[in-house]
Amino acid sequence: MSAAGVETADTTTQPPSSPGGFDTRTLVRPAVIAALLLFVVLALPSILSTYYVDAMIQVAIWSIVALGLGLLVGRVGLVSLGQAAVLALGAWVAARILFATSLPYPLVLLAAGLITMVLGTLVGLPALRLSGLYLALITLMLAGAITVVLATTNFPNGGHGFLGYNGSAVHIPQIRRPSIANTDTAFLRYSVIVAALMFLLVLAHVRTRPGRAWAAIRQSESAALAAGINTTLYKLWAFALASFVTGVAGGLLAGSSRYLYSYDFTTQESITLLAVVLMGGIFSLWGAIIAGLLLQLLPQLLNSWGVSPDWLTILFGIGVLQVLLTAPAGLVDQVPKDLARLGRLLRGLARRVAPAGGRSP
Amino acid sequence: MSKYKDAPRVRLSFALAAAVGAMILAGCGSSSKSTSTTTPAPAPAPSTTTSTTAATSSSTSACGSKPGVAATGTPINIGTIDTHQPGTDFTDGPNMINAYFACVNANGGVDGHPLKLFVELDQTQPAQVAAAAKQLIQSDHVVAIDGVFDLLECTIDQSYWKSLGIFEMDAGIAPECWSTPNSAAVNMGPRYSSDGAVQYALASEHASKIVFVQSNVPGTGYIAAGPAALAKASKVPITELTENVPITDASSVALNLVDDAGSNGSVVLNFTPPEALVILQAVQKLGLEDRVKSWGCSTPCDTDFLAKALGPKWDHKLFVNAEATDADDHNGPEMQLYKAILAKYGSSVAGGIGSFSQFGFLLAKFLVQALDTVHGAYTIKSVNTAIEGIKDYKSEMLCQPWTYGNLALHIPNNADYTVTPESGKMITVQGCTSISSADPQIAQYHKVASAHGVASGLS
Repeated sequence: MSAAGVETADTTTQPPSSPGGFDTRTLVRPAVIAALLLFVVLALPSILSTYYVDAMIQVAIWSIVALGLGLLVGRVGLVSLGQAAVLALGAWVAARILFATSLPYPLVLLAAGLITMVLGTLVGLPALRLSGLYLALITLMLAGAITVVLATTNFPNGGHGFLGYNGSAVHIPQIRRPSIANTDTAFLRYSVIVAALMFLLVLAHVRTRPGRAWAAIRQSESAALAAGINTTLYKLWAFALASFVTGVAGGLLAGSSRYLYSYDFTTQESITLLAVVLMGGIFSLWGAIIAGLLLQLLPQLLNSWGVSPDWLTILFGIGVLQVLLTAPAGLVDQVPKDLARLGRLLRGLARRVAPAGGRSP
Repeated sequence: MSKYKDAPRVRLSFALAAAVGAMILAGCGSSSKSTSTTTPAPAPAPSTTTSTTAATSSSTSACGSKPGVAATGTPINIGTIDTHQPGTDFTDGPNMINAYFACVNANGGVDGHPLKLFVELDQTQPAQVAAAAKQLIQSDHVVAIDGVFDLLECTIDQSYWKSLGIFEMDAGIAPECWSTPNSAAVNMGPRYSSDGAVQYALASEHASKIVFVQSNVPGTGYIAAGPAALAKASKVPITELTENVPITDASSVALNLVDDAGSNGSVVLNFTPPEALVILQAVQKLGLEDRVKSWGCSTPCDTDFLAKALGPKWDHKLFVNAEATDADDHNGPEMQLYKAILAKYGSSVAGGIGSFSQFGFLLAKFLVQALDTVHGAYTIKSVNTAIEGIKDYKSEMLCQPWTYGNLALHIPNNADYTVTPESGKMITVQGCTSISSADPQIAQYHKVASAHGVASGLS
């Protein structure tokens, strides 16, 4: 698993060779990504029905969450089972600020990200001494604790006081959205742009010193220490960054759902999230987008085809098994390779059939 | 990495096998969308009682205008959104509606048009509920929303329905089901049902104190406000408690409740049957059932299952609010039709006779009655005008006629029964009784209804 991971991760951390000082490949990839982003921002919301616009908003939001978890698991080797709880914290903070103030939405997202970053880093403190199963267990228990606290305090719904919850409300007010993104299509565009910014932020980290330090820690913490890397600092940095982007995602979630309930953020959600992140691919940022699609678009597709989304639990179980056994880099790595193999296979079959056809009378 | 390069075929075949396997499994899965059909009736439901099976199949002909003639026209699409998740399954409601529609379709339909129900299931995720509403309108082209049994739906979709001019009919949970212009429920919901249970304890058991305890879910304050207002109006102290579910230490809960209530007090529970049963069984185990004046419970406790599970010690000791007529006690023409439809078409109604299927029956029946008044094409506008125009629809299952109307809020079911366990069954101990206007929401409804000339109380 680690071997594959290193190979894929390294390709993202090292710039492509440019012997002549200019390599067309260095421009083609960003150009394709920019074109894709423009398509998603400008054209896609107009093409989709509002049912799928809603689904794609969730994809954008959960891609950010998957990005944060992928960063922890794939880049640093820290398995966290508490990301849904961190998302809940971000959503809570954003909802509280949105109800209490008239701050511009971008500032609310920033505040939600920063406050969640502080809280998430506190959650990450055990990571300084723990790893593997123990860290996963600790984060799971913390997620459970946050879920219990949220079940008691509830999410803000326009009430007063620190908690902002009014249990007696006969009409629960909606959480506001940005004034420029009040409609679903506009909010999809807004969410995709915010998601793109979060991906750029993480990419900027992965391609610079923190990314190299995280890769070293993932390979061997002892070796990283021997190489003079401050492992404590970089582990906390990873938790802080993952919590920040997840907090921003929580802010988007508050605006997209417009109502928040404690039972939206179950501990099981964190486990399912880890499963889809593994399936998508933890060594590539694209894997986070695949995870978002698996988690949010696939259920809606199944639903519209008349298949119960309950089956996804089984599908994800099989998917994780398959990834762990045969494709550690996830679908993002496996599918293109398998498609290429399939293409070669078909071309080979075509070549065999063609001469035979030529000989036939 | 190299070791994986040696096994590309294995990997590919495993991926294909996994995908195929998953697709096969998914294909076998129960659909989240169920639709009524005009095909022959399914086998009788095994879960129905003796009285159900006694109903003859011919009696189902009363559900349509042309007995025995299958509807073959263009379907009229109806949509619903229902909670379906581990521990909270409300699908008996839409399944009963589907059973009713199957009966209507087999007996002439609505002016020759069969009814088709599109069911969207949700797992209490607001975004999912909002998306489901849009799916029903834009992809399934439904013309009415009927039979919503959901924890959140009324809150999430109210503004959407209002923007489209849709008047939904539901059996809901969220406050907006009873407090908004575009929703009307056949049930009372947790607040007014708890009101009913507290009212019985105050008026009939003369409790000197009320201890009201409910599960800790969003909206507990809204629910508790009703019982608190009733207790305040009677100048009786009330203690409001919440318990996290699932309940892990029922004995402690039981002891606290009894201590809080005292010997002349009453304890009123607002829990689903599994949790209520856990508490009441702990009370019984500790021998505390006689340490308070009486025990009460909101509608969810109104099941024979609970009566059987508790045993005779609770006979005439536990008083449960019932929002609809007890099916065991009544056997008028409408109740016979309900039981007959359940027997002939209701094989998917897992709970058989019960409040969910009764509410499903009523929601389907009222909709069909409203559709019968539509002249011309069945559009969102024409159908919802008919639904909004529902006035004084009578039913054996409700204490009072049911009216929608152009009102700012709708609490058309505001009178109830009280039942108690006896020999393993729930029997009626108090007939139709109006929920007190001491609850400010009930008072507001009567005021609004009166201003619009709508009869809102018991006649």
